[in-house]
Amino acid sequence: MRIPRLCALPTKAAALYFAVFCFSSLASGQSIFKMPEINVFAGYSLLRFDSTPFGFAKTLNLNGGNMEVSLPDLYQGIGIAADFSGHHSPQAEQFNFMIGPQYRREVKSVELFGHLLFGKTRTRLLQIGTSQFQPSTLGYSVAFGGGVDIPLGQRFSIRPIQADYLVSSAFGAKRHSVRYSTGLVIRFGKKSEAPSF
Amino acid sequence: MNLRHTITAFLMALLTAGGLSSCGSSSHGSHLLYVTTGQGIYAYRIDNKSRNSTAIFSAPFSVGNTSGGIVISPSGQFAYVANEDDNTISLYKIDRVSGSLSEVLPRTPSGGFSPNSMVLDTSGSTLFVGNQLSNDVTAFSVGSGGALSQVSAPVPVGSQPSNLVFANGLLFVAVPNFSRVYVFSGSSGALTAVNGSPLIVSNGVASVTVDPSAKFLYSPSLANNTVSAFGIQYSSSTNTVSLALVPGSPFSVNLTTSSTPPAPVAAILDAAATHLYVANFAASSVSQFSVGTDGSLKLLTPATVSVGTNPALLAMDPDGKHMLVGNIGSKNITDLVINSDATLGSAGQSITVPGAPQGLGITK
Repeated sequence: MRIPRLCALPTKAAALYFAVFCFSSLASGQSIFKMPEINVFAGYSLLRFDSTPFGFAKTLNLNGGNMEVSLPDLYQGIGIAADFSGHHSPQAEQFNFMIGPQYRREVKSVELFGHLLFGKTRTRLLQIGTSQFQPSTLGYSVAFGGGVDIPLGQRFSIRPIQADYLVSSAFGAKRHSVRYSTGLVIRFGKKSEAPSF
Repeated sequence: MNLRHTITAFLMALLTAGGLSSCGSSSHGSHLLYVTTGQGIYAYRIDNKSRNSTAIFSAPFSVGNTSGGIVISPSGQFAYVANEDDNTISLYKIDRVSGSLSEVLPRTPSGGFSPNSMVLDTSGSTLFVGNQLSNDVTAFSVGSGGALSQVSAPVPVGSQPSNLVFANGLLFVAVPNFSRVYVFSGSSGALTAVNGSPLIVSNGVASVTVDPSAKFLYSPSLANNTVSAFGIQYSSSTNTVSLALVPGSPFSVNLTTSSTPPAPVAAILDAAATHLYVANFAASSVSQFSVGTDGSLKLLTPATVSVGTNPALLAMDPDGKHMLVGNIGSKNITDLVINSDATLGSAGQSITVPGAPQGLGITK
């Protein structure tokens, strides 16, 4: 026995109705899809790399850059950030690729943020001498840290400091390093109001 | 809470995290230990205070066929390794930060066959190499960058040299097969035989050790389980050397009579040349002596300390407070502390090496 359809509205008609609705909204200048705020940070970075377990005399200072793309305000100051950094010294280099939640809060005219990032790290030892071992490894990485953004108008901000405590896995052991970054933040989309004190 | 206080507190928290992370890094200083084996050169960084050793990650470093002795330049910048089967000497640059070795090619021919024992003069400007199969010694001048240039033709020493010692302008070469010690003047780089050489060591000689001022010579005897002590008389005007037996010599390496002969093979003096330590190959121990002003030896209490199996290599730590013992049988390095009374004690550290150690080199 055939079961009758409860709604007899044709599918094609429904699609047409939806398209007209969207078009009219766009034509009236009121987009239903609001572009979220997207921040892009890029700048110099210093990694104090925990290298003594490799037999190095002391912690190495690796210089490089840090780039981050974040959606800072998805819900009441909570957002998400994707972080990429690369650091180099004559003895070693490390690349980190991480993503994770970020919390931002406005304090008077500056913005404080903190994040917890998870991802992967590629560590390579350079100037290995006459060695018989492969000097490169891929491991996990976790970063916990934050920083300060000082807005310069609607589009740009200065990030004078971002510091992260970085735990990474390299050559089968855990490394505890610290990363400092500074640079420029460029904002795309309409700036949303971060929670403030 | 105003803005300044907020930012200051936040930044202090971030920077504190950075400071805490650096607490783990060593601030005591360290030096590097290189161990030659049949599988390559293994390297370790030793913390000066804790004596903890960390393997240099990129080791082992490749060498020529059958690596033997290793010497470190006084500057700590270069290492030389004898490749016995290649009849060559490898030059390595030492990276003090990473501890890694980078070989500078091409390798230098040793001037003879099967080089093994080596020694640098006090200034590090001349390298002397003992060639086991050609029974001779070659001298090389050390140029810029550590490069070696053979000074002259190798000088013969009659039979297989076991070790070389340079002291006060004189090169002493132990030749066990002949129970003799050959002496050369090496202050000018070129080796010149000294009148009176070779010196006869009637009790037998496994190796020799000489104090820095070349006043006394000590020679362990593998066959007789003793250490012979001699006063060295050298006249630079006549270029003549002779040995005078120290009263009481030879000295037993052990107070007790053991069923296993200790078989002393190597000896080393401490920095002040007031104490002598002897490796007993078959007894897995090190005998310890005080050195009198006349060069005589007196066993300390206890007479011996236990180390690994078949100790054959002795190296004094540059800090003067520790001694490293290379144990061929147990394939490890025993780290001994030199107590205030000059007796040896365990530093609690033993470094396991994947291969039997053939040579030890320590940087400052």
